[in-house]
Amino acid sequence: MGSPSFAGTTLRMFAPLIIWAVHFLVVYAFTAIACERNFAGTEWLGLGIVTWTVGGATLIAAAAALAMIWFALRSRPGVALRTEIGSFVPWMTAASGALTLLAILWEALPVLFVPVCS
Amino acid sequence: MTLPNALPRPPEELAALKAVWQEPSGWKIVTAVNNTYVGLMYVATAFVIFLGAGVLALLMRVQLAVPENTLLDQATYNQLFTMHGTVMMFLFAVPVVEAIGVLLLPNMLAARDLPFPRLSAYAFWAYFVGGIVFFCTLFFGQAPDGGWFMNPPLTSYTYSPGANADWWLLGIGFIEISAIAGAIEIVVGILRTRAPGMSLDKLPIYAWAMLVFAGMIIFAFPAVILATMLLEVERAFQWPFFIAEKGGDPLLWQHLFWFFGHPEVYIIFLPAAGMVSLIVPTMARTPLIGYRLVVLALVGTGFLSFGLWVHHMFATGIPQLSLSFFSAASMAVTIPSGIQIFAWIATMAAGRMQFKTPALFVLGFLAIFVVGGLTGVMTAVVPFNWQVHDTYFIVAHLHYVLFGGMVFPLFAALYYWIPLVSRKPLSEHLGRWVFGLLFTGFNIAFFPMHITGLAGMPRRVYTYPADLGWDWLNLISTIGAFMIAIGVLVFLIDVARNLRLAVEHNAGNVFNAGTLEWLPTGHYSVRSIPTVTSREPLWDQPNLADEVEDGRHYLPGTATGRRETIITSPVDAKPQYLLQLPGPGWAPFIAAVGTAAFFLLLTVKWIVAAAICGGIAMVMIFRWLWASDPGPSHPPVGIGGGIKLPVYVTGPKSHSWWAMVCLLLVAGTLFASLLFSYLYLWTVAPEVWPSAGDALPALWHPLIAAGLLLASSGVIASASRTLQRTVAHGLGPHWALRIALFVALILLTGAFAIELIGQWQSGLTPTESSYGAIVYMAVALQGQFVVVLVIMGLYTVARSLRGLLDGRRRATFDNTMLLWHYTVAQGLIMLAVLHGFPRLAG
Repeated sequence: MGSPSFAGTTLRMFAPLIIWAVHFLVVYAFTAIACERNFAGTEWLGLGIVTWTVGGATLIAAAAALAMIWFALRSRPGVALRTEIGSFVPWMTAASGALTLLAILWEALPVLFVPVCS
Repeated sequence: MTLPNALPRPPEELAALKAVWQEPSGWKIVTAVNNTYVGLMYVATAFVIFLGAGVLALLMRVQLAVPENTLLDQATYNQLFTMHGTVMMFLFAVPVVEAIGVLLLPNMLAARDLPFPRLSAYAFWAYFVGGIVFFCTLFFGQAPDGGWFMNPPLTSYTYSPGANADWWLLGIGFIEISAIAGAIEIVVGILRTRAPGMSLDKLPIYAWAMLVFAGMIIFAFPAVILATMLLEVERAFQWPFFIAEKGGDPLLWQHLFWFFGHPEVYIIFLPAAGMVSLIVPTMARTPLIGYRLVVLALVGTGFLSFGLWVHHMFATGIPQLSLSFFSAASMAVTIPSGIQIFAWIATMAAGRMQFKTPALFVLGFLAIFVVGGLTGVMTAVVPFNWQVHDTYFIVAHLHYVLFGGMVFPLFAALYYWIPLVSRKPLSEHLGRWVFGLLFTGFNIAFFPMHITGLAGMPRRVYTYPADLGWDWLNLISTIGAFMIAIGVLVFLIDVARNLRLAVEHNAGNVFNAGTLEWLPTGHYSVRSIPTVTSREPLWDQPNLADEVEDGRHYLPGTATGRRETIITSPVDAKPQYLLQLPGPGWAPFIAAVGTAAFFLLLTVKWIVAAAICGGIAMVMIFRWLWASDPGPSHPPVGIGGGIKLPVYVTGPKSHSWWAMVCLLLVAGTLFASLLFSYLYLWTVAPEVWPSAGDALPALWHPLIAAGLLLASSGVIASASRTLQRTVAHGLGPHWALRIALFVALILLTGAFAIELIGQWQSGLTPTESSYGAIVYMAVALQGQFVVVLVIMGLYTVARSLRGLLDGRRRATFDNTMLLWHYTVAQGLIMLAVLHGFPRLAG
């Protein structure tokens, strides 16, 4: 029996945190460019383009994190990696998913209350 | 349980092991590469530098003790606070935690040494020589004076025309190289040299912390490396990256600096937290509560800390919603920090605490760090941050976080681990005095600074008028600072009285800890390498120390007659091969001195001397590399328990492949930082960008360059297949391989030349605008990789000519190939951005 791949195992454990990083980059970069290039005032259905983008990115990221938590909790200990490290990997996926979910929602919350470019 | 090796062991086995691990003595100690020697010298040097930076702090506190003091003038004071911050952050905090890692990790993982001992020695000596020279600039009035974060435009050529800023920009260069070299060593060491059975879920928390620490260095340091390159090039050649009237932006520096600078806080804190996570269970005599949660907290902190950098820039006019993202992230990062703190408290509550000196320092750390964390949450609130920006409140906060979060754990670690390297432990009696003085002195020195800051005293002022309400607060802070100094002095007395360096006959496991570094050791680390079945092996396997010392576990001697360690798989730690390690040698020392001299001489514009030193460094590095790809020169060897391991492997299993991948991550992050800079400058000054493709090189330039790049990668891939068919000194397509390497080099340099000529012929110059500057910087960065590949390509050909390269002995070629493909990928992205983006965005 071969050893599990390090890249695959690590990616699986901490993929939710990579989602956090991508989400953070997207919402920060989009807001910065929208303000710098003066198109933050564009509206659709009464909501600004920044609100739409941040909200959409947050929903997608949160859904991805939730899916990872769900699959991690459903995976049976020891089966996924076929090694003695057993439940460590799925536990870590679920826990980092929970942390990611919290961080994503908390960081996106200001879009509901804070003026975008002032 | 049946052990891998039976008794009695052959009588000559231990003597042979000792002989191959014998370290040089006298002045030849500079040739030592063993982690224990290098680690000890590293820690000692970092501590001496800590003392030096502490003296600078005392001078500043004396100056500020009374209003309108004339002890120091403004220029000297500027140098003092700049050097205090720079030295503490770059020359003390990062090196000392790396040093402790080099010292402890092999023993903790039951490895004989880290996988690249010469790299550790090189990192240390570059730091030693460069660090001391850098510190000495103070004595010649040449020390940097722009603050430890060196913000332009203050530090650009207009306002800082002297060499002071250059000392910082180039002087920090060798520290960055040293830190990255150490980080790669630590990543590969932790992932590949663990004892059999020490799967990721059994990895000591300290090793997890060091893994995250090293990973953060790999992803954070390139941003500051790029920043220093840009500012130095702006100063030397007037390329206007940060000059607003030419489309540059000083805030670009702040983004790059703080993208490194905020993770830097956690780069310093996480190893300290890892130490605390080992000390607390030992002092409480019970395993750490919430091991998995603490691992999550370490990794989570590592990620989230990269989303905080703008909270150092709240007062710079960034959009309010953007500030809120960073404000929220700054609060989110308290969750993983809180997890660790609750885990430590729960562990203390679950066990029976022994309040020995290390435990006292841990308790002091908890109290101070929690206060620093709470003021951190306060400063994460944007309006409050604006009020206290650049005041002494921030000085208080950062010292509570850094001194509390790193220096207190460091003293705990020194009292805890010194018995590993000394015949007797440090004194409990004096240790309590040290703790009392440091804890009391620290709070007397820094707590009043919160009030001083709220009362409006700005940072970095060399004096202040009387009657602003700051007088007595400053006096109290100065008294506290001297109490800290007395505490450190008592520690030095304790060290002088009790520290008696001894690797073999050390004081031993005086605190009854459960991790492997407390196994009996010699210069060779452990006599035999045990199978790990739990996180606290010494608690769970009471006879383990005797079994290891008797040679009953794996590799009880030297299997090949040389220094060796077992390389295991990264996830589940199964033995994969035996790595032969190098012994003492001059090459790392001379290479390090040459590297430090190169950067330092460049600072004073002694170009020829700098080039000679750089050349010497490169020759020495190639000298040590020449012997580091030995090929399958030894048949597989038995390590006990019926396990036979190969002595040489190549490809993705090889430790050198892993190190090269780490290096490529550094390179990739550097390039990503450059792309960020390019796009950032476009957002702030689109008017200096060419519109709709005007003034860009004709499209055939990038298309031909891209074709040449792809062709060079294809030739290298083909050469790899050709190499597989070759046999050393035998028949085979050796010449085809050599010709392929030359052809690939010509294609690669041709692609670079076409791009450079294309930009130049379009009329673009690097000094005219920020656009020209960043385009030529991208081309120059690619050029650096091409130069490195030319050298590596020629080196690979040289090894082929000497019969040192064939289908089985190919690690050198593999490393060159990995960098080659990376450089081609980087070049293609660069071409797409430089030629595609202006056309799309214009």
